[in-house]
Amino acid sequence: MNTTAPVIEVSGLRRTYRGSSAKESFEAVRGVDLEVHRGEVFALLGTNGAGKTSLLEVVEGLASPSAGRVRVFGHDPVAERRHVRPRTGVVLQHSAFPPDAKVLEMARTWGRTLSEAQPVEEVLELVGLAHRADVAAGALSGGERRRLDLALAIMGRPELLFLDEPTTGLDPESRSTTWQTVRGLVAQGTTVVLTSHYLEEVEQLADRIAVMHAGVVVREGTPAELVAGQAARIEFTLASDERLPELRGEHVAVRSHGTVRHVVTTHALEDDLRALLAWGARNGLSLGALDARSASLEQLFLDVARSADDATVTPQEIPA
Amino acid sequence: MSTLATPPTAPSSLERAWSLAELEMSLLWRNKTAVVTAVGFTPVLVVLGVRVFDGLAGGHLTASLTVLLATFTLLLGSYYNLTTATVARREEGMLKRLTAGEVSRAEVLVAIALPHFLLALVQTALAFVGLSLTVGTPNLTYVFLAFLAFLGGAVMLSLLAFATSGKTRTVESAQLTTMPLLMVAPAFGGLFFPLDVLPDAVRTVAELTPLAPVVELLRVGLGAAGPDGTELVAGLATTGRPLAVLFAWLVLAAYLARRSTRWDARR
Repeated sequence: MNTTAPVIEVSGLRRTYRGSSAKESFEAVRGVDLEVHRGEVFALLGTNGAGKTSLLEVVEGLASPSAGRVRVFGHDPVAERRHVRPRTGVVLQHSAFPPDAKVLEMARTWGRTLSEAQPVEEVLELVGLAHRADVAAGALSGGERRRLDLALAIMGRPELLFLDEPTTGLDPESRSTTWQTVRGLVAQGTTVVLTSHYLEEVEQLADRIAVMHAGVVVREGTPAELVAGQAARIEFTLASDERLPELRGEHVAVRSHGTVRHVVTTHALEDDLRALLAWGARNGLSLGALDARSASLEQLFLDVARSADDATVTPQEIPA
Repeated sequence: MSTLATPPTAPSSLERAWSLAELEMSLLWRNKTAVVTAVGFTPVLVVLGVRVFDGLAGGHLTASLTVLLATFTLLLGSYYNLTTATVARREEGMLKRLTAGEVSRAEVLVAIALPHFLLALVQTALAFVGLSLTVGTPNLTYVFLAFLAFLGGAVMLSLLAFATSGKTRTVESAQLTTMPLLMVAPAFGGLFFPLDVLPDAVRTVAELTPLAPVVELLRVGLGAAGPDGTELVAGLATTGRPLAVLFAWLVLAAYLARRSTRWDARR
């Protein structure tokens, strides 16, 4: 697929948090292999505690792995940070700024620590903070603080950008500004590794997705590949008890508030939907609150979370 | 406009640390409580010192007062305030944020420590000049020893502050975690009474406490009088031991800082 060396290579990666006793030690990442290629948008998904941030921190060079190997641009991100850091930008999951520091002051200071910095004013403009330059960080809204964080991360024109839940807790406008900025960078060839809880955003943006659970990658592939195995859903209500026509998917009916709510989960969305509509027309029935949707990442996500609760998850990889 | 933001070449380690230190200095300056405490602290100590050093006058009094001031400004700035500042930066998420860029951990620590060191230095220097002009000028033959002691003491206390910050959960609890050093070090450092008055065994232990070598070297360097009123300059040969103790504390403090400093907020 891609002949150039991967931007990120992770193999057999493990990360253990050492407690004061063996009992308190916790292995957050339990053997992960990953490759991210130049120009790719790679998303890590998983429930809280799945190990996404723990994994990211090792790749970012903020922590050393307990076992396994990480290479970023072919370098060890901890031992050879000098060769890696000028080429990466990081938005951490949690971070803030001294409350008394002003936006422009903070951004200028950061810019002066970089090998190659874009003009500070341009970057603030890009993330929509130019008009807040003289405001103290403590007076910024959560969304503005997050965008300042993004401004710092992209100021050094990184080839590789890490975004750990960059839009969590943001209002729709801030989210949109953030993704617009990221899309612009992607268009310029920036490689992006991100985590997010907004699955629709990930589905739109990511070229490849890895779903993590309990410290391992349980699914990996393009959004299309990942949802390919998932069932679609058709939902509607009928005013009375009716016997549905023969469908290829599975069907459940629930009576409530005098109507009957039907849910069909199917791998043949088009066939079943056509059959239902024809049946309704033939019998003069109205399918109320009709909702038909293709398999989604959300469904996959929920399935992974649920199957994991059933304890055993077999790692499965969808070949690219 | 953009000249500030786009240096022609990649900044050196020192330049990166200095950029951050400048921000820290502005922030410290905006923290009126810290500034007022630091400024108000000096005259209080001088008044207290004049009473303690009852029998001294002239250059000897200037020297002893300066030693007292130097030690306390370092303790307050490079230890107590620095511990608090480090905890604050860590808990707000700034420490980790900084190390996610090109700045190294060592550069971040230098940047946070520098303003407190400089403030202590300026306070001490101003007090020294003021006292020299009004009270009397001491014998400064070995003044380099005083600089060495001040710098060594600042580095040691800063490293201990980082180590202490790792054991401190919140900014408020820094008042407790810094207590042991703040209580013990001055008491056994030979600041208020010469260690010679202690029984031999206690004295030996006291001489090994972190501030003792700093105080001893400052006294020699600033030409303070010995316990019997004689010049300490004659005792230059005896500075080997405090130098060794200071060096040992620097090594230990560096080890503790490396082991205990935390970068992640406790969540």
